[in-house]
Amino acid sequence: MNRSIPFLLLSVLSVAQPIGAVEARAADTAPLPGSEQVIRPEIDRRDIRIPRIDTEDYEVGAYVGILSIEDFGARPVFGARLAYHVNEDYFVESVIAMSSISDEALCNNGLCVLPSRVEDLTYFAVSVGYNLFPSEVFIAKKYAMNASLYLLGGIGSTIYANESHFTGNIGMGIRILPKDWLAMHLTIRDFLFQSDFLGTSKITNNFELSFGMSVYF
Amino acid sequence: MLSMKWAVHLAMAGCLVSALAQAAEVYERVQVADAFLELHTGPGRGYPVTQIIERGAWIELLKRKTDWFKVRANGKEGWASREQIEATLTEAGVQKSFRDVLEEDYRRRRVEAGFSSGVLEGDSLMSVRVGYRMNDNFTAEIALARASGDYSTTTAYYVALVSQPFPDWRVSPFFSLGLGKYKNSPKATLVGAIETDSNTANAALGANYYFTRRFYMRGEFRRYIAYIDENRILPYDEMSLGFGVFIY
Repeated sequence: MNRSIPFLLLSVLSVAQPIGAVEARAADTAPLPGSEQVIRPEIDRRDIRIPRIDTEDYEVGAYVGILSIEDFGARPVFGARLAYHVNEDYFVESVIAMSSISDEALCNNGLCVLPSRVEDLTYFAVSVGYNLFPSEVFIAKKYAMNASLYLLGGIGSTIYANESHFTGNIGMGIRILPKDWLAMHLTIRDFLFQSDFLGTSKITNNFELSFGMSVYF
Repeated sequence: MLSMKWAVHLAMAGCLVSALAQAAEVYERVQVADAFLELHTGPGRGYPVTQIIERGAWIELLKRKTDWFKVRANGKEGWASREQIEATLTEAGVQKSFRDVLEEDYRRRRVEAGFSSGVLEGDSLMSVRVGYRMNDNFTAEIALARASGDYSTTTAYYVALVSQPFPDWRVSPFFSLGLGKYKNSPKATLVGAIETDSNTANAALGANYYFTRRFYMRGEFRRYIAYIDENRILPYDEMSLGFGVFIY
């Protein structure tokens, strides 16, 4: 009979773990059989795992537009862009795009400059962008979206007919964010490179208007 | 039958994606310790403050864009600046701190990539490179350079070993030796021009300057020795300036 009380106490104590001091004192007053350890505290170390915060500084997307090459004509352009936002004011973007260049109009007047009537054109550029006017745009009464007007400037290369031309570009665009992670861009850019067909070397201005969508990740 | 199989695969993929999405619903929580926390309507200092969270409330950090955090508390959502989040307390009761990308990370970088622009024998040049840092002093690189000029286009690609004797300096000089190919294609409009396609050895002297965060600047002078044939070995000089980013 006497032996059952400490055992009962032990079993109660072993179940009610975190309560601590009160139980320790109670155990001290009860008679202990032999050299058994009275309390075996088994409190597990709490495993605090801090979840990572999702950072969305990179942007990847595609765009379509019209690229006009000086003296040649305007053709559609399809491109992809990857951008990294350094802070709320600056970002770096790289683009690569494919278009074509055609001298049909010139050839009809006797001046055929390119190896074939329509040649593939590829350009790539790395640019720095500056968010000039971060803002909010409103559509009708209900919708407000974060937006920003930005300026771009960079360097790259334009390749067509087996020739590559060092190209500089300046431009500006507007970025609208219907969701935090989705962006729509409308960009106008001027690509400047030196071209020497017709014998004279001049710096040509080639404008591109493009509309693109990209995702932040 | 084939479409059934695809439908099943798609359904399984969908389940996996939604399971992952649900698994990612746990956000870090911090407690506001300042008098109040201001919530802006967008991730920028110009966006207006429309809501505040008072001291003692627990907020969830949903996502981060540059230096702004989208937070949620008591049903309110908004953007808080990093300075404000830095003043909050974590679940462990200490002040929230951020692990910036520091100069220390730059010193310990392992993989880096870069883009440079310059001049090669009078022609505008652009190059890209990827490097793997084997130890503090040596980096192995692979690079592609392209120069477009009035008369020809030059393409060079090479593998190089870069040696940095003083990697701890903020402006750290380097010496590089490389081997590769050097190709020069004259423009189609020129008559009688010869295309060059030769092996090259090149040596460069330059410096890296740690700029900020993940960016560093790099300037170099490189001399290519092109082995045209047994009798002709021609040097071509390049000077370029560019930036690099390090990945980890």
